[in-house]
Amino acid sequence: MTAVLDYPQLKAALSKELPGIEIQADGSFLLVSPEDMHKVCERLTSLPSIQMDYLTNLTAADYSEYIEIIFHLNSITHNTSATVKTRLTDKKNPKMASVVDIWRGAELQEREIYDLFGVFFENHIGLKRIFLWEGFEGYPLRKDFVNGH
Amino acid sequence: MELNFEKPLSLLTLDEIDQQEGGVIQSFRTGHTSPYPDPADWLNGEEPPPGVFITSVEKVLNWSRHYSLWPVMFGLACCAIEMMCMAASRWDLARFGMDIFRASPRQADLMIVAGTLTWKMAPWLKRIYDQMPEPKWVLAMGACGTSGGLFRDSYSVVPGFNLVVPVDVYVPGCPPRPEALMRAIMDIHEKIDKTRILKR
Repeated sequence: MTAVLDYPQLKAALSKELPGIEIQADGSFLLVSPEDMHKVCERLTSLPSIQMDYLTNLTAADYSEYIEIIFHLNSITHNTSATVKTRLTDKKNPKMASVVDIWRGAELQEREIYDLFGVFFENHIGLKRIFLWEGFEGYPLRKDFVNGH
Repeated sequence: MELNFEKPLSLLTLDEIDQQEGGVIQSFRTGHTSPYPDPADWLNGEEPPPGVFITSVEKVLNWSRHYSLWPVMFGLACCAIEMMCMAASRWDLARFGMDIFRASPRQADLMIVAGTLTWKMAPWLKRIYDQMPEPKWVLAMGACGTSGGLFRDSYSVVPGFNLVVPVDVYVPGCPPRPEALMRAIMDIHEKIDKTRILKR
C-alpha cells in the first residue's frame, strides 16, 4: 500500500536542502509559503530520497481569510504520497508560480483553479478559462461570489 | 450575436475563436431570461371531426406522424442513460416506430433533451432546434429540464429548458424511469393526433 510520508522528516530533509525557507509540518500536510512553493516542488521531485514524480491532484479551497492551494503528490518510485499546501492571503490578486515546468499534468488543473478561483499562475503556458466561457464575470467557487441570474 | 465568419476559421487564432464563442454564449445568456410559453393549447382541443376531405388528409398525416416519430440525439447527462435504456430491448422504443435516434436534426421530429443543460451548451441546443424541420416537438426530460433541478441556483446551468426552446412535455424525476419517459412520448402522440393542418 502507498505509505504517507512522515511530515516532520520530510520537513527536515527539505530544510537541509533549502536553508532559510520556512516550512511548517503538520500531522497531515506540509505548509509552505507561496513564494517558496516552486523551489520546494523542484526539490520534492529531484531529491532521490523523496522523488515525488507524479502530481495526483492539484486543487484549491476558499477559506474566507485566504485561498489554499493543495498539492496531492505521489512517488511512483518509492510508493509514497504526500500533501503540500500553500496559502494565498492576498485575495484581491492571488498569485503564485506555476508548476507546469515540473509536472506537465498541472497545466489543465491550474487553468481550472484560475477559472473557478481566480488564482493567477505566473509563467503558465496558456492561462485562460477552461470550463466557463470567455467573458464570464467573477470566479464562481469563491465564497463571495454572487450568482448573476 | 452570431459567429463571425468574415475570416475563415483556419485563419483565426485559438484565442480569437474562444473570444467569439464566449461572446456568443454571453449574449445568449443575457438574451434568454424569460421562458417561452408552453405550447399547451392542444390539451383542450378536440380530435378532427370525421367526414370532410381535409380532415381525412389530416387523419392520414397525423397517423403517419404518430407512428414514425424520429427523435434526435440530445443526451446531455445521466438522464441519457435512462433514454438509452428505453431505446434498448427491455422497454423497446421500436414499438412506437421510434427505431432510430437520428444523428442529424434534419431527419428528426422530436427532440428528447435529456440531462443538465449548461449555458455553454445552450446556443447549440437552440441551433439544433432551429435546424429541425416543422412540425417538431420537444420533450424536456428530468428535473434539470423542468426547472434546473439540483443545479437551479448554479452559475452555469440553465434553470429550465423553456428559457431556450418551447417545451411540449416535461418529465419530472431525477432521473425519470423509462416508463415515465414512455408516458411522455404517449402524451406527444396524443398531441400529434389533435394537430390540425390549418391551425398549428
